[in-house]
Amino acid sequence: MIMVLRRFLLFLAWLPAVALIAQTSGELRLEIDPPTSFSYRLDHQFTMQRPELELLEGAHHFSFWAPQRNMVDTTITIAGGEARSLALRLPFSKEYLVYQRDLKAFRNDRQVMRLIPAVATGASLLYTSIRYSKMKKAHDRLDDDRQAYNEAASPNAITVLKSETIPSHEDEFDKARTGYLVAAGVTVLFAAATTYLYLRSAKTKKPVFIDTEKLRFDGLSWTPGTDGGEWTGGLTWNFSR
Amino acid sequence: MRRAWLLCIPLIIGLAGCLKDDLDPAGLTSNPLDPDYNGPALIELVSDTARIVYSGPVHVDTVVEQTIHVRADLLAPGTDYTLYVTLVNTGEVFDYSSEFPPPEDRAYHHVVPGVSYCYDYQLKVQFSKTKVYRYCTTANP
Repeated sequence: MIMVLRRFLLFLAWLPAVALIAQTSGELRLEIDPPTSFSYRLDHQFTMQRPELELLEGAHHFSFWAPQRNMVDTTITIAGGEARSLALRLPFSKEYLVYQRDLKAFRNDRQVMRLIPAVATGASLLYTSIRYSKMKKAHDRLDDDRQAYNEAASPNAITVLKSETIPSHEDEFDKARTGYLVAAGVTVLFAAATTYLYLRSAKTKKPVFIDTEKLRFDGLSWTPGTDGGEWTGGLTWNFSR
Repeated sequence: MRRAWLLCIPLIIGLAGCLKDDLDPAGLTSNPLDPDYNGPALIELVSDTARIVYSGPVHVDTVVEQTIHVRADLLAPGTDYTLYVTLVNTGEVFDYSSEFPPPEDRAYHHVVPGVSYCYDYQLKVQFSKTKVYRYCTTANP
């Protein structure tokens, strides 16, 4: 009698396992955009990245997430012995779009504050060097005139040199010198403006992207791993409210 | 970055300062052929005389003469030149580069005692004349 009772109790204990074994499973293939960086939490418990999985038949809850994307919750019903696929594109999160906009504005501002003044200063410096070269040539001509005076072999040549050639070359030198000084002044102004804008732009902080969707996704979950897995948790508090 | 820009300013000013117009035509007076030459005399007066010319015992003329020396050593080697003399008191010109050279005698004749007689000496080089050197002699025979 006791033996019969024991066998009956053993049978009762095995019933759920047998029922579980009798439950059939189905395959699910995930085609998520982005294809490599997404994660999902299955039935509010397991965080996974596998694109293919075998699930018991019935409804299963999925929370999908990828960096920079919104978290998407959905329920998928698996039919026993069937294979199905889920194609899903995770939309970009609002915070990421705002971050992208701010980053673009930041880069544009930096370009305006640094690149354009630097290019203008560089161009001005180049122009100044050209003007300097012209001034140097004009000065060399005066040196040549001095040499020509010392070597002049006739009074008439000296008279022409002193009354026409040298004054003409002096005018050219004066013009070249004025042009150079103007160019140099503009370059100094540009350099000062570039320095000022560079230092001012350095005070502007680069936008930082905080993925609040990740915090939402992480929540409190169990991540299975080779050494048993780990619990991860996240706490979200919106200070702007 | 800021220091680099600050270094540019003295550099630019320094470059500009290096190239000054220090060539003053009025200050160029060192070439002996220059009409404004201001060095040692290119034509030097060696001697001058006021002498009475006699024809036997008869006093026929009183002349003023000068002897000059050209400092060829001040000229560049190989410089060709001729003498150009103007008798200031009469306006007579002795151009030794002309096709018909004048006579060597360029004395003032029949001079009046006590009057100053002047010569303007120039060198003629490539058809143009140098600075005027004027020497005067007072007729005191």
